[in-house]
Amino acid sequence: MNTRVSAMLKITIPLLAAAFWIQGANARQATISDEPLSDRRVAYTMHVKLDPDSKTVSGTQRLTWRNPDSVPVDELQFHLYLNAFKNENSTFMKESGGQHRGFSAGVQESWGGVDIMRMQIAADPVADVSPTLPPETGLDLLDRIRFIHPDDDNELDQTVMAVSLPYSVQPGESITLDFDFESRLPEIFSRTGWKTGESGNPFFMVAQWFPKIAVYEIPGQRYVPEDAPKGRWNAHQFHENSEFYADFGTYDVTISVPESYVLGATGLLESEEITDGIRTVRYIADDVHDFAWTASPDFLVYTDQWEHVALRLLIQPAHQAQAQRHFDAAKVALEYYAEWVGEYPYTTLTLVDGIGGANGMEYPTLITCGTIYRLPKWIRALEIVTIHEFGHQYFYGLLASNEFEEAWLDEGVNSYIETRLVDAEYGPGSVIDFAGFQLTDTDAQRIAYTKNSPSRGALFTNSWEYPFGDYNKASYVKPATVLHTLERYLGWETMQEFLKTYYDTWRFRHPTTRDLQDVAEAVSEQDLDWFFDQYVYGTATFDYKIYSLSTRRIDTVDEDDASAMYESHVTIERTGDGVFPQILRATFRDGSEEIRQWSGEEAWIEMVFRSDEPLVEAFIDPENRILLDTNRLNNRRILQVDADSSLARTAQLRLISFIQQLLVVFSGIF
Amino acid sequence: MSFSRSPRNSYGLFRQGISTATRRPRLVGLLYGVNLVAGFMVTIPIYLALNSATATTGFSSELATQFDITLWADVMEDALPTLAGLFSQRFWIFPVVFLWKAIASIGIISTLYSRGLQSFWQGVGEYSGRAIVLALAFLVPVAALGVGIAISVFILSAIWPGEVGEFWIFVVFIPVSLVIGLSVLDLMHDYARMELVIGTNTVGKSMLSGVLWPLRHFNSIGLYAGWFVIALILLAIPTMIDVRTGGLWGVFILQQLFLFARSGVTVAWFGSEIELYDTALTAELPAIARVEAEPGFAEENQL
Repeated sequence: MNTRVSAMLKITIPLLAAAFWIQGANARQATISDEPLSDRRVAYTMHVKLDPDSKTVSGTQRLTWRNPDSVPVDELQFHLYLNAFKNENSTFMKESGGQHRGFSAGVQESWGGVDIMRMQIAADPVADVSPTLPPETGLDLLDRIRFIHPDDDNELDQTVMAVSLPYSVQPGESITLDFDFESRLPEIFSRTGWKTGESGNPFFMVAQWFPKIAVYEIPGQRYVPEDAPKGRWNAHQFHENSEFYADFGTYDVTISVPESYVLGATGLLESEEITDGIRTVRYIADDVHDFAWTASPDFLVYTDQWEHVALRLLIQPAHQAQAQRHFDAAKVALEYYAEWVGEYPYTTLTLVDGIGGANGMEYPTLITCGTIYRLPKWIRALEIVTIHEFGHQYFYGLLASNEFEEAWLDEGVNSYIETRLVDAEYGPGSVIDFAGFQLTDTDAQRIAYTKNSPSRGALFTNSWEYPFGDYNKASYVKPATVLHTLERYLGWETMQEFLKTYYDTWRFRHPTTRDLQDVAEAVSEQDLDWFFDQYVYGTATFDYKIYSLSTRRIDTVDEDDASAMYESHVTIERTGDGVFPQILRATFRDGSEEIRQWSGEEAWIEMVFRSDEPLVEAFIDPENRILLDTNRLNNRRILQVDADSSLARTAQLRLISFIQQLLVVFSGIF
Repeated sequence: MSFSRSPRNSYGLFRQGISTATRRPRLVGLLYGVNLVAGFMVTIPIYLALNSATATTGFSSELATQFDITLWADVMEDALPTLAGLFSQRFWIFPVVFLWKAIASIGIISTLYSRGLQSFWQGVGEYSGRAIVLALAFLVPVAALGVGIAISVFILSAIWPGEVGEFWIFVVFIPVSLVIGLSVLDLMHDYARMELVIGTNTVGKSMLSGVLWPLRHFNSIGLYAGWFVIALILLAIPTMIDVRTGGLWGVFILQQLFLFARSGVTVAWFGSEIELYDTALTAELPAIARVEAEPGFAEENQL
């Protein structure tokens, strides 16, 4: 941690600080590359102002969109995500019931939404903002707006709008649109909006807040057939269980807030000035697909540096003792992801300690972390959330898969890396390490899958189509367990090469599940249909168990093995519809072992061993490589005569003492 | 009502209590034994369920020495229905403990104050009915304490909203209030029992006298606090042993030694309180009555 910018400092010498920043910032750029890293199909320039009293953000937006198709496009589609909070008729509110991740919607006055007051084709794309045109020019688009609902029949949902153009955008050509818009921020319960902090000052997390053009997928991109006559818009309504999907481009955003506010945003701070009590900052961001910002008078600011990345932490005053924990976690994440996946190409990373439902969310180069007052160090919730949200910079940010349709490609693959990273860095008690109780991240996710109706919810499912609330399981913990199993099947070296190749091949290109499988197959040189069909596209589950184990002395001499004196039988049973190759380790009385392999395809198999020692133990998957197995306890079996009561006896004796203590305390109360 | 300070110093009271406990090993053994049997009975289902789930799996000894949450999840999946069923059949242990505490306290006071002339069981037989009524009566202030804390939390939460306030209210205020409140009630309950047995008062008068006792005799609070700390340490040590050491039977025996010592503290604690009670009463008697009075518990047990 290098610098702490206190509120007093910001008030007394703001101009000096601003000048310093501007000078420094001018020498830097938003990415480490001098060339565009992405296709940059969109470019946004915005001038907006936050009104803390009315909880609104209003201003202008200029959007330039380039037609990537080989045919003209005569309609544009936009996301108006904030309209999810417009009233209780939106699809989001109907699905969520005003509840999200334990937070609840506020009262009626807390509704949000976005109003477009002007939308027109720019008469002069070179000027900052075109003058308002009379409708008769044909360039005004307000009357051409209609709300569509591609995912359901909710005609009252206004989170996706289509605009028919007065003329077509020719292949490779661009269209520039000017907007006047006002975003009414809801009281935060799901990612975005405002909340009053402990001091009584407001906190703003301004996310999914502007009219945002959807992704136009061209033939051959994602699931649009190569031979399709033209591409198609891919836009989805805002659902309870869906995140986002957008195209890469550039953002140049100028934001005005009251002078006392501390602000953080996606990208690089280009300039900052204070005039008449208004702080105006300009951020630029390149090769990103979204722009979010936060503002509050309460934030304390800390900065740090990791290689080419300037770290900036905006933290609530009550949590300032945990500032270093944020930086430590962020640096751990930067190091591991760079080593295992690829280079982080941006020059900034802003960590935001927000309030309530704003936390635990990712935006390009900005993540919300979240902690609680006096969080003990033996609970690594802060570290895990920070690492997880940073990891999204890769799978949500740089690879930018469609989170509506294939959420697991972001949440799931990221959860896999997160668990691996957290366990590697923090050891056996990576999640909780207290008084002998140790919980690893991988184990936590494995249990959350195997003990939670594992046969429900395929990874490859539209995020709003999971019944029974299986989105979290199927998008986070199950994919993490699936990929851990794949890693153990392929080996870590192959897995690491697969991750790096996947990232190098598909960054900035919106890969699909098919693309990920293709890379895995190419790198491993194996056909993995059997794996992906069952555990990614399907809902297969399995539990292999030692059904029976017996051994007996034989009187007749084995013709093949004259020394054989014992014949042992092991029966393995497969329950569930999933198949996975198995290894059985048979252990004999003298400690010798024999390994046998089984394809695992049959419902059961009996293996016969003839040896000069009795078989005493049968153990399938002895190295614990198949994390998808829903019950590991029955993978191993010993002879009935060797039954071992160690655990039961230990537990009983320990509990006797504990119960005695409890009774002493109990009797003290009365 | 007189507000006298009892003459015996704290050191003397503690010595008296310890002396009492060392001279009553069978009493200590009885308290310890009842607790051990109760603990054993409650844990029988655990032994049966875990043994059924793990004995032939090959994971038993591994799980006994190291924690593996994925295996435990499987064990619980297998054993939980059995455990739940068997545990529900063991809930009677808690009301029984309540009754035992009520009558055992009376028995201890009776036998200690009579210098062994009256046995533990004679005291139980003579006073247990009223002791149980007294214990039930003390549930009223316990409930009042709960209500009082709930109201305090409500008010504090309104005054001090937010997570910092929540931390101090829920992590500090509530536990501390509960410990202090219940300890004060336990202290009052102890002296109420003495009023019942030694003072031969009615339940109502005994309760009133017990409630007022710490107000009239401030050193009873110090005495209680001192024994409370000792008892707490003896109770905490077995847990620390469990965490920090291995060796099943060695740990168990060591734990039991401390729990036996904890039972000794219960007897010693009462011994000190009876000493204080007796000394205070003697000090409050008119001088002439004191001269004519028989030697009390305090004089009889001078070290």
